[in-house]
Amino acid sequence: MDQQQFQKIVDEKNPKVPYFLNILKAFIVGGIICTIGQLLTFFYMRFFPFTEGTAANPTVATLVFIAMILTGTGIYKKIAQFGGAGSAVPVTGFGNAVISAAIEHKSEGYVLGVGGNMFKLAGSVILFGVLSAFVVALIKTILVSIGVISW
Amino acid sequence: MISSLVTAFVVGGFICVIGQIFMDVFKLTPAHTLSTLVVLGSILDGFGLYEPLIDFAGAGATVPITSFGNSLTHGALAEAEKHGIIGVLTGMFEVTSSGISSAILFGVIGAFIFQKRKTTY
Amino acid sequence: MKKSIIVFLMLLLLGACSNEKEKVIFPADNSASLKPIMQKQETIHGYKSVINEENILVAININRFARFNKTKIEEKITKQIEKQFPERQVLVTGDQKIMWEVESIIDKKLKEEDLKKSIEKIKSLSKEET
Repeated sequence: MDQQQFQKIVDEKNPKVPYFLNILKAFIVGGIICTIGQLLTFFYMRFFPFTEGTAANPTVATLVFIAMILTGTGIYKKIAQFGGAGSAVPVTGFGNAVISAAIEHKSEGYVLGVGGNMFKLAGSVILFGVLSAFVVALIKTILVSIGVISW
Repeated sequence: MISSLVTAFVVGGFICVIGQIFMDVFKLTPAHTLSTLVVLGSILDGFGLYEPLIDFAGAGATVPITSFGNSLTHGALAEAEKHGIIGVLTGMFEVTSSGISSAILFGVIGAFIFQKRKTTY
Repeated sequence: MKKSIIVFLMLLLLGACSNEKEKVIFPADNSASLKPIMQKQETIHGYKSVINEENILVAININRFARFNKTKIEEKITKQIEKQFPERQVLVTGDQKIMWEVESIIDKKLKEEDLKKSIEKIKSLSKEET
């Protein structure tokens, strides 16, 4: 039995991924989370001195707070099982990754456990965010300074 | 009002669909997917395309993790415009870091309040 | 039940589209040369404007799919108004928050001093970035 035949058997045994259903679920769950975010944005604009540009910050903070409650009570796990990427891609998924790691390693103490493991899952997001921001901004700055494009 | 909610739903949902395609079709882990999306948001901002999307979709563009890459790049670019190439380094966390700071803060508070379950993620 | 919801939504949609009330300039006697500029803008479906001696503040409702070009539209209208009123400071914005603030000024019918204060407040609000 060579590699190809083996792969064929593995493919047959594995359950087929229901692509369309997963995409639909992700669309609905992600859409609902973003709609809640939009409602929060309206709330902060209406009752606090935030504009459309600045209201995103308290909105994100509030969503992470909601993610904390849902993670701690174990509801977020159920949402994630249903929604897939729909629950992972919004900022609540980032919050969930950080908070669940913090709770998980609480028993090892606050310095080594919580502090050391908090960004175990979410650290790559920060790393690649900073790295790509640096590269993109560097390229654009160089291009502007030699006069290819303008700001 | 209502049309803003609808556009937020559609655009936010669409970004999540891109994430789901990364996960299902290209077989990436969630961490890889999120990292790819962050890089994508950062590149889009480099071309000046992410801010118009935020103007159009509001929270539909600011809530997904792509906006994290966007805001980092935006801070770096804004500072680079003022101070030249040094600004690229110093400006990154200038515009916004509410996602990270609130995640750290609520992470600690969550660890303080809640007890460990079998699996929370 | 389902039908009544659809009818209700249709009414909301229609109500949002045709509303002459959304075009207001305050105080109205100052509006002579501002109105024609705003009238010919095709990308907006409403505006609320406040004028005093030094400032012109225009909050615009940009059409849903024109919002991609929000900054460009704001700049374009600002230039046109600045041409007409070179001695005043002009702020044109599609921000919903500024729209609400301008509405509250119009509702309260603020005069002279109060008006000036509120306009300064709105201007500093719109400058914030983070």
